[in-house]
Parts: sequence; C-alpha cells; structure tokens
Amino acid sequence: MQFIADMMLALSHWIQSSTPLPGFALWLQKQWYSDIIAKTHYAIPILQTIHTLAVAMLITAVLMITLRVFMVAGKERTLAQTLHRFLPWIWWCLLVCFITGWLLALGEPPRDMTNPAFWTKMVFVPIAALITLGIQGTMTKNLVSWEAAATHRGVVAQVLAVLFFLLWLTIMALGRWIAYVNT
Amino acid sequence: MDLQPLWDKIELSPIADWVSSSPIGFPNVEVIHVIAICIVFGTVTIMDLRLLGLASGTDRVTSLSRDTLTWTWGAFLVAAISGSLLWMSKAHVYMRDPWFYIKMSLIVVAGINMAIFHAVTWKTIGHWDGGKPPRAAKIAGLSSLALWIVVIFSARVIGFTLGVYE
Repeated sequence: MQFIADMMLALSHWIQSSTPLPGFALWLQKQWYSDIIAKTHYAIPILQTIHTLAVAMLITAVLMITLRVFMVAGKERTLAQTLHRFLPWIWWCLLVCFITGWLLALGEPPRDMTNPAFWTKMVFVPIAALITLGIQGTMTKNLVSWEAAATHRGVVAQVLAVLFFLLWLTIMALGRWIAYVNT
Repeated sequence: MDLQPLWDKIELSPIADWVSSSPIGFPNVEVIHVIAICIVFGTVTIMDLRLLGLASGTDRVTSLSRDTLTWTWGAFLVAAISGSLLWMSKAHVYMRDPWFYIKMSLIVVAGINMAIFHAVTWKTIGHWDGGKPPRAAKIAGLSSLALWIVVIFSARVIGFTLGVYE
C-alpha cells in the first residue's frame, strides 16, 4: 500500500512540475462547456450515476464470463453463447463510460486532469479494452479449445479470466480513488 | 429524543475510528462498497431485463436466477457490511442527510418488491420459465430496475450533500 501511495505522490509531482496539465486544466475550467457542466444543477451526480450504472453492467458482464470459464454460472450455455450475450455489454458500457467520464472531466478539470489516479486509470482502461479485444479474438478463433478448457476447468483459461476480472476491479478502485488523491 | 450521544459512541468505536482517521480507511471501504453495489445492480439487472423480455430471451428464468441470485445476495452482504462501516465513521452526519433516508427507504422497497415477486409471481414460474413473463413479472422487473437506479443516484448525491445539513 505504501508503494502505491509513494508512486501516486511521485506521479502527482511529475504532473504538477513537468507537464502542461495544471495550466491546461485551469484553461479548460474557464471554457463555456466546462462551465455549463459545473453549474447545471445535479449534472455531476447524474453523470456519475450513469457512469456508475455502466461500470456496474460492465463488471457484471466480465464476472459472468469469468464464472462461465470456471463453470460456476451459465452452465446451460456454451462459452460462445455466453460471450455473445455479454461481450456487447462490455463494449457498449465502455462507450457510455468513455462519454460520461470525459464529460465529468470537462466539468471538473483540475480534479481530474492533474490527478495521478485519473491518469493511471486512463492508462489501465485502454489496456483492459485491448485485452478484451484480444480475448474476443482468440476465443472466437479457438472457440473449441476455449470451450474444452472451460469445461475441464483449464488452468490457463481460469488464470486469464481472473486476471481480467482483477484488472477491471483495479480500474474501478482507481476511479473511486480520484476523489481522494490530493491534487 | 436526542440520539447524538449514541452517534458519538458509534463514531468513537475502534473500527469506526480506524475508518475515519486512517488515510486509506474510508476510501478503501468505499471502493469495496461501490464494487459490491455494482455487482448487486448488475446481477439484478440481468434478471430484470429477462423479466421485461428485453434480454436473455432464450434462457430459462430459473436458470438465470440460479446464475445470478447467489452473487446478488453475496454482494449485497458485502455492500451492507462495508456500508455500515462507512456509516459508523460519520454516523451523525449521515443521520442528518435526507438523501441517506431516501437511499435506505428505497433499498427496503426494492427488497419488498423482490419478496412479493418470489412469494406470489414466482409460484407460476412453471408456466412461463422458458417463455414470455406475465405482466406481474414485468412490473416487478421494471420496479426493481427503477428502484435500484434511484438507489445509486441517491448514493451519489450523498457524496455531495454529506455535512451540508449539519
């Protein structure tokens, strides 16, 4: 935990002293579109609610795929049917999170743009999206072997599924920590 | 009745004190709370969308219920424990925030809605398990979805109103 705190502190110093982000955040805050989001009554909580609902559906979709790989849930469905059911949710929810997330950042630029937790999250999200794309590709191409791995509780499939789930949990944790990391 | 001494006592308990005074206490408990609530909402939504006939149309309702219900209850338990810890750390502040009462009341209503669905509509599941749910199931699904969305909205508003009503 101390290592993460030290890393966040170092990243915060670097953002403040070596990047144009603090100045950019202040400039952004003065723009009319930022002002509208910041001053519209309940705009931030409503955007945060939509963001949270999308995150909820995304993490549940990842959970359901993981549980199917472990043969704990969705046993009456094939892995292909499970992916067909839940992968679109991940992509649509990611799109909603992307739109609402950036609207929130536009509404509160200094809170997000100079925040090390925010930028760490912004690094992790594309990685998670690329891994989702990779899993989607490899599962579609090698569905028979993945199906067999899932049916026989293959270790590689299970480890990958757990790591994928943990990655999304980390992104959620970073999202909540944005509110607490001192910028 | 002045309950302030009770709230003070709760806030001064060792565990509440750790949550409020440790720099990582409140944020990390909140992370666990948010993850748990997200899984509650997500698993409930999978069922609600099936009841509304909007998704998982080819899955049997009993099969979906088996897949999701354990996770809904497990996550709800984690959310309740972590939520209690957050509440204990600032009990008197939460008890003055109307949004806290709105959130708690709606969770109770969502629970009653679920109980009625399981006690009444679920008895006829044999007739519609693999097909189109009856109107009562659709109403239960829609109510559940609406209630949980407002619960999450209330929870977000609490983040902005905590301390305002002191």
